[in-house]
Amino acid sequence: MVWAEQAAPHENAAFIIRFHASPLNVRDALRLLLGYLDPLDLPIDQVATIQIVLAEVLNNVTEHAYDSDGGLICMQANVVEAGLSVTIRDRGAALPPKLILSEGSGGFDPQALPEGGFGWHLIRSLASELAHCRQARWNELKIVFSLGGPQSDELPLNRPNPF
Amino acid sequence: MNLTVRRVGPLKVVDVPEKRIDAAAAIAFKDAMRDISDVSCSDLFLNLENVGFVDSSGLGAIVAAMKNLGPERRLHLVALSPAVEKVFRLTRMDSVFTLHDSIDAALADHG
Repeated sequence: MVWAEQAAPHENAAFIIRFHASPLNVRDALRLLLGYLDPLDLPIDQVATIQIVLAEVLNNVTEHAYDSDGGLICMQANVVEAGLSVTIRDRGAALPPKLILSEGSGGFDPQALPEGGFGWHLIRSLASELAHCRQARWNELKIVFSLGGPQSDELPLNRPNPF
Repeated sequence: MNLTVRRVGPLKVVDVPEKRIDAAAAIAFKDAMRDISDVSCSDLFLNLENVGFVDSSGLGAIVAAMKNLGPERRLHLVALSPAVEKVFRLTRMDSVFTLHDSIDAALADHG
Protein backbone atom coordinates (compact mmCIF):
# COMPACT_ATOMS: atom_id res chain seq x y z
CA MET A 1 0.00 0.00 0.00
CA VAL A 2 1.33 3.37 -0.95
CA TRP A 3 0.15 6.46 0.82
CA ALA A 4 1.00 9.94 -0.41
CA GLU A 5 0.33 13.56 0.40
CA GLN A 6 0.16 15.27 -2.93
CA ALA A 7 0.66 18.92 -3.65
CA ALA A 8 1.75 20.88 -6.67
CA PRO A 9 5.53 21.54 -6.67
CA HIS A 10 5.19 25.19 -7.69
CA GLU A 11 3.32 25.87 -4.45
CA ASN A 12 6.55 25.03 -2.67
CA ALA A 13 4.82 22.19 -0.88
CA ALA A 14 6.62 18.96 -0.12
CA PHE A 15 5.69 15.63 -1.62
CA ILE A 16 5.62 13.05 1.16
CA ILE A 17 5.09 9.35 0.69
CA ARG A 18 5.28 6.40 3.08
CA PHE A 19 5.11 2.81 1.96
CA HIS A 20 6.08 -0.75 2.80
CA ALA A 21 9.23 -1.77 0.97
CA SER A 22 8.43 -4.00 -2.00
CA PRO A 23 9.30 -3.86 -5.71
CA LEU A 24 5.72 -3.10 -6.73
CA ASN A 25 5.37 -0.35 -4.12
CA VAL A 26 8.63 1.19 -5.34
CA ARG A 27 7.11 1.28 -8.82
CA ASP A 28 3.97 3.01 -7.48
CA ALA A 29 6.00 5.49 -5.44
CA LEU A 30 8.05 6.48 -8.49
CA ARG A 31 4.89 6.93 -10.55
CA LEU A 32 3.40 9.23 -7.88
CA LEU A 33 6.62 11.25 -7.57
CA LEU A 34 6.82 11.73 -11.35
CA GLY A 35 3.19 12.86 -11.24
CA TYR A 36 4.13 15.44 -8.61
CA LEU A 37 6.94 16.71 -10.85
CA ASP A 38 4.79 16.76 -13.97
CA PRO A 39 3.73 20.45 -13.67
CA LEU A 40 7.40 21.48 -13.77
CA ASP A 41 7.55 20.25 -17.37
CA LEU A 42 11.14 19.06 -16.96
CA PRO A 43 13.18 17.86 -19.95
CA ILE A 44 12.77 14.14 -20.65
CA ASP A 45 16.42 13.52 -19.85
CA GLN A 46 16.10 15.12 -16.42
CA VAL A 47 13.02 13.05 -15.60
CA ALA A 48 14.94 9.93 -16.64
CA THR A 49 17.82 10.90 -14.35
CA ILE A 50 15.52 11.40 -11.38
CA GLN A 51 13.65 8.15 -11.98
CA ILE A 52 16.83 6.09 -12.45
CA VAL A 53 18.50 7.38 -9.27
CA LEU A 54 15.42 7.06 -7.05
CA ALA A 55 14.61 3.60 -8.42
CA GLU A 56 18.11 2.44 -7.55
CA VAL A 57 18.01 3.94 -4.05
CA LEU A 58 14.55 2.56 -3.25
CA ASN A 59 15.41 -0.87 -4.69
CA ASN A 60 18.57 -0.95 -2.59
CA VAL A 61 16.56 -0.26 0.55
CA THR A 62 14.04 -2.95 -0.42
CA GLU A 63 16.65 -5.56 -1.31
CA HIS A 64 19.51 -4.83 1.08
CA ALA A 65 18.49 -2.67 4.05
CA TYR A 66 15.42 -4.78 4.79
CA ASP A 67 15.03 -8.55 4.75
CA SER A 68 12.23 -10.22 2.81
CA ASP A 69 9.62 -8.99 5.33
CA GLY A 70 10.29 -5.43 4.17
CA GLY A 71 9.73 -2.36 6.34
CA LEU A 72 8.78 1.28 6.19
CA ILE A 73 10.21 3.65 3.57
CA CYS A 74 9.55 7.40 3.78
CA MET A 75 10.35 9.64 0.85
CA GLN A 76 10.05 13.41 0.87
CA ALA A 77 10.65 15.61 -2.15
CA ASN A 78 10.94 19.40 -2.26
CA VAL A 79 11.64 21.71 -5.13
CA VAL A 80 14.33 24.08 -3.83
CA GLU A 81 15.73 26.98 -5.83
CA ALA A 82 17.26 25.37 -8.91
CA GLY A 83 17.01 21.84 -7.68
CA LEU A 84 14.96 18.93 -6.47
CA SER A 85 15.83 17.66 -3.02
CA VAL A 86 14.70 14.14 -2.12
CA THR A 87 15.15 12.55 1.30
CA ILE A 88 14.62 8.82 1.74
CA ARG A 89 14.44 7.26 5.20
CA ASP A 90 14.32 3.64 6.26
CA ARG A 91 14.78 1.65 9.45
CA GLY A 92 16.76 -1.17 7.88
CA ALA A 93 20.40 -2.17 8.16
CA ALA A 94 22.87 0.72 8.19
CA LEU A 95 24.03 1.81 4.76
CA PRO A 96 27.80 1.22 4.36
CA PRO A 97 29.31 4.73 3.92
CA LYS A 98 31.78 3.51 1.29
CA LEU A 99 28.91 3.01 -1.14
CA ILE A 100 28.28 6.75 -1.19
CA LEU A 101 31.81 7.99 -1.02
CA SER A 102 33.75 5.86 -3.45
CA GLU A 103 33.58 4.21 -6.80
CA GLY A 104 34.05 0.91 -5.01
CA SER A 105 36.19 -1.44 -7.03
CA GLY A 106 36.94 1.29 -9.57
CA GLY A 107 34.55 0.35 -12.32
CA PHE A 108 34.30 -3.03 -13.95
CA ASP A 109 35.32 -4.96 -16.99
CA PRO A 110 32.36 -5.23 -19.39
CA GLN A 111 33.72 -8.53 -20.66
CA ALA A 112 33.09 -10.04 -17.24
CA LEU A 113 29.40 -9.23 -17.81
CA PRO A 114 28.19 -8.63 -14.28
CA GLU A 115 24.48 -9.04 -13.64
CA GLY A 116 24.52 -6.70 -10.68
CA GLY A 117 26.44 -3.87 -9.08
CA PHE A 118 25.16 -1.25 -11.50
CA GLY A 119 22.97 0.54 -8.99
CA TRP A 120 25.40 2.66 -6.99
CA HIS A 121 27.38 3.47 -10.11
CA LEU A 122 24.21 4.95 -11.62
CA ILE A 123 23.36 6.82 -8.42
CA ARG A 124 26.80 8.41 -8.11
CA SER A 125 26.94 9.22 -11.82
CA LEU A 126 23.60 11.00 -11.93
CA ALA A 127 22.89 12.65 -8.56
CA SER A 128 24.24 16.18 -8.10
CA GLU A 129 24.64 15.75 -4.33
CA LEU A 130 24.43 12.78 -1.98
CA ALA A 131 24.51 12.75 1.80
CA HIS A 132 23.79 9.95 4.23
CA CYS A 133 23.32 9.93 7.96
CA ARG A 134 22.32 7.29 10.45
CA GLN A 135 20.24 8.55 13.34
CA ALA A 136 18.37 6.57 15.97
CA ARG A 137 18.31 3.46 13.76
CA TRP A 138 17.11 5.39 10.72
CA ASN A 139 19.05 5.65 7.49
CA GLU A 140 18.55 9.04 5.93
CA LEU A 141 19.81 9.56 2.39
CA LYS A 142 19.49 13.02 0.90
CA ILE A 143 19.80 13.38 -2.85
CA VAL A 144 19.83 16.67 -4.74
CA PHE A 145 19.23 16.98 -8.48
CA SER A 146 20.11 20.20 -10.26
CA LEU A 147 17.18 21.36 -12.35
CA GLY A 148 17.34 23.70 -15.27
CA GLY A 149 20.43 24.45 -17.27
CA PRO A 150 22.17 21.96 -19.50
CA GLN A 151 22.98 18.56 -18.09
CA SER A 152 26.47 17.26 -18.49
CA ASP A 153 26.31 13.53 -18.03
CA GLU A 154 28.16 12.77 -21.22
CA LEU A 155 31.32 11.87 -19.39
CA PRO A 156 30.15 11.00 -15.88
CA LEU A 157 33.04 8.62 -15.32
CA ASN A 158 35.51 11.48 -15.67
CA ARG A 159 33.59 13.88 -13.48
CA PRO A 160 35.55 14.87 -10.39
CA ASN A 161 34.31 13.24 -7.24
CA PRO A 162 32.50 16.01 -5.32
CA PHE A 163 33.08 14.34 -1.95
CA MET B 1 5.82 -12.17 -18.50
CA ASN B 2 4.39 -12.80 -21.96
CA LEU B 3 7.13 -12.30 -24.51
CA THR B 4 6.18 -13.04 -28.09
CA VAL B 5 8.55 -14.27 -30.76
CA ARG B 6 8.03 -13.53 -34.44
CA ARG B 7 10.01 -13.75 -37.61
CA VAL B 8 10.77 -10.58 -39.52
CA GLY B 9 12.54 -11.69 -42.67
CA PRO B 10 15.59 -13.57 -41.45
CA LEU B 11 15.40 -12.06 -37.92
CA LYS B 12 13.93 -13.67 -34.83
CA VAL B 13 12.34 -10.76 -32.95
CA VAL B 14 11.27 -10.95 -29.29
CA ASP B 15 8.64 -8.33 -28.46
CA VAL B 16 8.44 -7.08 -24.86
CA PRO B 17 4.89 -5.86 -24.16
CA GLU B 18 5.75 -4.41 -20.71
CA LYS B 19 6.41 -0.72 -20.10
CA ARG B 20 9.06 -1.46 -17.49
CA ILE B 21 11.76 -4.04 -16.90
CA ASP B 22 12.39 -3.12 -13.27
CA ALA B 23 12.97 -4.89 -9.97
CA ALA B 24 9.33 -5.98 -9.94
CA ALA B 25 9.56 -7.53 -13.41
CA ALA B 26 13.19 -8.67 -13.74
CA ILE B 27 12.76 -12.30 -12.64
CA ALA B 28 9.70 -12.86 -14.83
CA PHE B 29 11.57 -11.34 -17.78
CA LYS B 30 14.62 -13.53 -17.16
CA ASP B 31 12.49 -16.69 -16.95
CA ALA B 32 10.55 -15.85 -20.10
CA MET B 33 13.77 -15.14 -22.00
CA ARG B 34 15.24 -18.45 -20.85
CA ASP B 35 12.21 -20.33 -22.21
CA ILE B 36 12.69 -18.62 -25.57
CA SER B 37 16.44 -19.12 -25.80
CA ASP B 38 16.07 -22.81 -24.87
CA VAL B 39 14.06 -23.49 -28.03
CA SER B 40 15.86 -21.11 -30.37
CA CYS B 41 19.15 -21.64 -32.14
CA SER B 42 19.68 -18.23 -33.74
CA ASP B 43 20.46 -14.67 -32.68
CA LEU B 44 17.59 -12.89 -30.92
CA PHE B 45 16.51 -9.30 -31.53
CA LEU B 46 14.92 -7.93 -28.34
CA ASN B 47 12.39 -5.28 -29.33
CA LEU B 48 12.23 -2.71 -26.50
CA GLU B 49 10.02 -0.14 -28.23
CA ASN B 50 7.29 -0.45 -25.56
CA VAL B 51 9.74 -0.30 -22.67
CA GLY B 52 10.12 3.18 -21.19
CA PHE B 53 12.22 2.28 -18.16
CA VAL B 54 14.89 -0.24 -17.19
CA ASP B 55 16.55 -0.16 -13.77
CA SER B 56 19.69 -2.01 -12.69
CA SER B 57 17.70 -5.16 -11.92
CA GLY B 58 16.25 -5.10 -15.42
CA LEU B 59 19.68 -4.42 -16.89
CA GLY B 60 21.03 -7.41 -14.96
CA ALA B 61 18.20 -9.55 -16.32
CA ILE B 62 18.98 -8.50 -19.91
CA VAL B 63 22.67 -9.28 -19.35
CA ALA B 64 21.67 -12.67 -17.90
CA ALA B 65 19.53 -13.33 -20.98
CA MET B 66 22.49 -12.56 -23.19
CA LYS B 67 24.79 -14.87 -21.23
CA ASN B 68 22.16 -17.59 -21.43
CA LEU B 69 22.45 -17.54 -25.23
CA GLY B 70 26.03 -18.73 -24.93
CA PRO B 71 28.96 -17.71 -27.10
CA GLU B 72 27.43 -18.83 -30.41
CA ARG B 73 24.36 -16.57 -30.40
CA ARG B 74 23.99 -12.84 -29.91
CA LEU B 75 21.32 -10.77 -28.22
CA HIS B 76 20.59 -7.60 -30.19
CA LEU B 77 18.67 -4.71 -28.61
CA VAL B 78 16.23 -2.75 -30.72
CA ALA B 79 14.50 0.63 -30.22
CA LEU B 80 15.83 1.83 -26.86
CA SER B 81 13.93 4.77 -25.39
CA PRO B 82 16.06 7.71 -24.16
CA ALA B 83 15.79 6.64 -20.50
CA VAL B 84 16.71 3.05 -21.31
CA GLU B 85 19.57 4.11 -23.55
CA LYS B 86 20.87 6.30 -20.72
CA VAL B 87 21.12 3.35 -18.32
CA PHE B 88 22.98 1.26 -20.90
CA ARG B 89 25.34 4.13 -21.75
CA LEU B 90 26.18 5.05 -18.14
CA THR B 91 26.97 1.44 -17.26
CA ARG B 92 28.89 1.00 -20.53
CA MET B 93 26.65 -1.93 -21.38
CA ASP B 94 25.90 -0.22 -24.70
CA SER B 95 29.29 -1.52 -25.85
CA VAL B 96 28.44 -5.09 -24.90
CA PHE B 97 25.26 -5.40 -26.96
CA THR B 98 24.57 -4.62 -30.60
CA LEU B 99 22.03 -1.77 -30.62
CA HIS B 100 19.63 -0.97 -33.46
CA ASP B 101 17.35 2.07 -33.75
CA SER B 102 14.47 0.02 -35.15
CA ILE B 103 13.53 -3.36 -36.58
CA ASP B 104 13.93 -1.82 -40.05
CA ALA B 105 17.46 -0.69 -39.19
CA ALA B 106 18.27 -4.17 -37.85
CA LEU B 107 16.93 -5.66 -41.09
CA ALA B 108 19.09 -3.31 -43.12
CA ASP B 109 22.13 -4.51 -41.16
CA HIS B 110 21.32 -8.20 -41.21
CA GLY B 111 18.70 -8.77 -43.89
